[in-house]
Amino acid sequence: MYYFRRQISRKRALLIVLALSFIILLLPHMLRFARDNSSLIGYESYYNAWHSSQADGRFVLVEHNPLGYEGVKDIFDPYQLLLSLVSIFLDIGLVSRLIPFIMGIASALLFYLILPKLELTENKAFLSTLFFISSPIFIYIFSVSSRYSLVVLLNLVGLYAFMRNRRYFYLALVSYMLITFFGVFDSLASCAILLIYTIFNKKNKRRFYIILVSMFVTSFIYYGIIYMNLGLPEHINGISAGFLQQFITALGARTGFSIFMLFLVASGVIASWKQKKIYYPLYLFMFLFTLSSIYLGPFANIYLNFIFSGFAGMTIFTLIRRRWELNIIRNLLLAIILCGIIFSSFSYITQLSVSGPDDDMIFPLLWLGKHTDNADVVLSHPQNSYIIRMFAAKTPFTDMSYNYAYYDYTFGSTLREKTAGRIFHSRYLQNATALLDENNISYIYIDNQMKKGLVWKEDKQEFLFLLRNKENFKRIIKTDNAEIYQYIGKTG
Amino acid sequence: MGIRVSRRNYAGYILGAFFLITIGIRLYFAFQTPYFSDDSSYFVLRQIEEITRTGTPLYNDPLSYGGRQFFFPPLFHYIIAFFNLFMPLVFAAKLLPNLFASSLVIIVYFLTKEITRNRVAALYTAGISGFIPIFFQMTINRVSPYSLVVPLVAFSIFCFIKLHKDKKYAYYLLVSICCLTFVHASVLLLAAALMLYIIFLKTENIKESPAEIEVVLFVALLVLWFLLLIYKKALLSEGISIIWQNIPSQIIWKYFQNITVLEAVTKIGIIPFVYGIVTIYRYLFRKKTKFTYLFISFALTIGILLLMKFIVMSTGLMFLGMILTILYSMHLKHFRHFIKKTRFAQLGKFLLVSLSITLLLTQFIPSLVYAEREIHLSTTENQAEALGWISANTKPEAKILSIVEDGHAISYFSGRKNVIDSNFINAGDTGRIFDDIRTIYTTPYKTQAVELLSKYNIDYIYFSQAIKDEFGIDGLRYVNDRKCFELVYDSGNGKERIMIYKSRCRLEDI
Repeated sequence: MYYFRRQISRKRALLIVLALSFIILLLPHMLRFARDNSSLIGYESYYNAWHSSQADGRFVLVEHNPLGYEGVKDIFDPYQLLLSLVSIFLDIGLVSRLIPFIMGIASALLFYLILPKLELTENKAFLSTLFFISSPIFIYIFSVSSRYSLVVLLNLVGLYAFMRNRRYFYLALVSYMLITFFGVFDSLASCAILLIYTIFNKKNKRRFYIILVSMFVTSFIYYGIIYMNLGLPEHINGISAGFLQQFITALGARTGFSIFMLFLVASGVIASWKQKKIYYPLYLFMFLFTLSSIYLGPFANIYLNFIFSGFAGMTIFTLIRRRWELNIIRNLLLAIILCGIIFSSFSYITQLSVSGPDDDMIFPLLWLGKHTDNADVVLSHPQNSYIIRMFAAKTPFTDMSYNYAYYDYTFGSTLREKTAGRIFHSRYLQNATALLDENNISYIYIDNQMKKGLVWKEDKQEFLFLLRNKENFKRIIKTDNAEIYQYIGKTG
Repeated sequence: MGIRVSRRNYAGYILGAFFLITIGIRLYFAFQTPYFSDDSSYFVLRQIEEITRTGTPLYNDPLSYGGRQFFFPPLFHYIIAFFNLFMPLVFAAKLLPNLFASSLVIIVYFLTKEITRNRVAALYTAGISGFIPIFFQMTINRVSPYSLVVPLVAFSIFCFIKLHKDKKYAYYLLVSICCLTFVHASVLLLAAALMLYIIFLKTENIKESPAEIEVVLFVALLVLWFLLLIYKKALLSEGISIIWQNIPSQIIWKYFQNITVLEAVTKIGIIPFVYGIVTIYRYLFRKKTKFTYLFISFALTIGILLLMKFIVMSTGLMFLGMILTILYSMHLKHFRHFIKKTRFAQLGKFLLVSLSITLLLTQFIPSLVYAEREIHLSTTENQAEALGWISANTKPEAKILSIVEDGHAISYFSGRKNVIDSNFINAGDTGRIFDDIRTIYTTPYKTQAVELLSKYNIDYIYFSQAIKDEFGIDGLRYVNDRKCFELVYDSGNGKERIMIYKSRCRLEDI
């Protein structure tokens, strides 16, 4: 029995891609609601939601963050502006879900439409698109309210417009110029993808140079203004865990690849090696971006996902159409790959749907915001910084903006993280209270994740033990997943 | 009129005799004691009991480390549980692993006959394979999945070699690989060796058959997928260090040791070791025979993993021993052909006899010595009695302190919680637990001991000769305080004296 004997019709393929991407992107939210959790998926969503609500539909290049501890400068982010503009008409929570969702579906359709222009058959394009939409990276960036949802869409819009006739060139130009506002790495990555197309296509070199120069000029002006005003950022986004833990989803990567995808890509590279003279730009791109993933963090994976999906689709098509000596092996192999992809995607979706934060974590912060007026300082793990801002309207002592923004101008965050670590791991009350006084901390927010490995390995350990001292600490609210203590032992 | 015994029957009788001798000697040693020689056997027994009782393994164990989750493929446990329905558990646990391990003799015979086309070489190799010292030691008095894994790997290799002759071997191979995947994670070795084999063929410009490529692709993917399914949570919590099984750094040297040539020779046997290596050299650098590369790939994979300490030494040597023994058959075949062409041709039988005596001295006798040693290392009646006392005289939720080597035995015999055992994956910070246990046993300070006993919620302290030897102590230095420590069990004076103390004091928050 031979599958994919005939080319799938474009209309049918588009419908299937639309339906599947709709279901895949809807599932994390549905599962979350089914668990009575109405909060947004991921802490990054609150990072963008908070900034959008502060932007209030305004374009501002650099702005002072009113709830920044030592002075925080927020840099313009096009994604946050988009959320901000749409949230004038709709609730920010709904917007944070809807915008990535729509961009995800649009990206899936565009990805499918682009591939035939790279001389892939409809069947190969269809299979590659299926890999693309079932990839953990696609699921993550279009389920969580992430700036990368707009980056990916702009890349695909830009590339598709570039491939079309001249009428669409300005759309491509605008798309690529907008990408420059997301960071130097994203600009370079987008250029690299465009360059690969130009090398394969051998036409449109002039248009490529126009886009390249425009991006360069825009970056020069934009980052020139920022660096002149603020200097170099304290953090430039980098790796926080080992390479494999950031590259493979089975080992915990948030934006990584499944083992099956990597297996198919490796097989595809080996099978196509004889035609390396044709495919060398792709090999070079994969090599460079895998290196970038090691040194600069998992953001490179977002761009690798385009190429990996393409290779995986081509490989699986070859496996299907190949003449096998042992048909039972073919059927079992394809069954395992299919089951593996479906299982790993569903497993990832389930994991995402139960990821923090949840309503039990947010409720204490809402209570704190309602029952207190001042923008007091709250000590917690950096990942809680934006839910503290968003719901309690308080200033978080530690910040995790560097995890979400490519350039983070949160001053002194490294030192404060170390101080927070000293407080959390303190065994002596005097030391802990001295640090709390010195840094003017009024509240301590503890969630279960912090107690189960994020900060401490066991309950009643170190600072958790000290919190039981009623002379200095008063627990003001507790839910199943979080509690807030007020530091009442302030001296002076 | 007499009965003519054909050569084939003759070989069959000898093979049958080898098998019976192997299983006979194994069972002779195994049934000398009703107990087992390693702690992990008691883990397997608990799993079998649970399967017999509920139909599913005990993945969420309330006793190990005071409560934790296990990750392991359960087929081996199910097989023994099935036979447990018809025979007592200990009997099944002694008989079946030895039966599986002895089946290696038969599998190796057919495998080596296929590659050498020489019955004598095949018979000799089959005989040797029954007495690979390390394999003999690790499977004779232990309920070890390796007793099934090693023969299954050999069978898989046999089916792989026969693929090009008859496609029905593809089905046998698939079943074998699927079984292996469900028995133990070391199926990864087979997958890695097969991939290395394909690479070898490509670099040596030897044409591989499409069926081989298809099988290797399938095996690689199946093994990867299944192991990810089973060990996903462990991978997420331990990351890539799952290779070292979260073994505490204080004792990891016991598992991942530096391998020395002397040790390898002793545990594999000098003749298969030396001539197996010679055969690798001959076929790697001179002759190029397709299927030899399969064994060479296997040997190289294990060798590299052993050198890089990615595999426990005993496991690596077991597989290496099997492969070198099989490779030795090729040397034996060539040696016999070589001798026939020389002036020493008439001494052929004499040389075979000399070889047999050498093998007896270097394979058979060392295997018996290791077996004897294993029996002496098994749980004693004294230990079983002490743990039985705990079962009868303590609360079901009590927690017993002892060392790693006693953990599973405590859970099995007494049905009580342990503080540490030899399943380290997903057990938390095992290094810290190990250090704390050492402190409890060696500290002279009561408060320090009580603090740690409170931390782990320990109710009883088990103290034996093994613990004395482990920590170099004569006794617990703080147990004079009768208010906090009561001696509730004492097996009496003697070399195997066991004492059990009840911890009465706790450190509490005020």
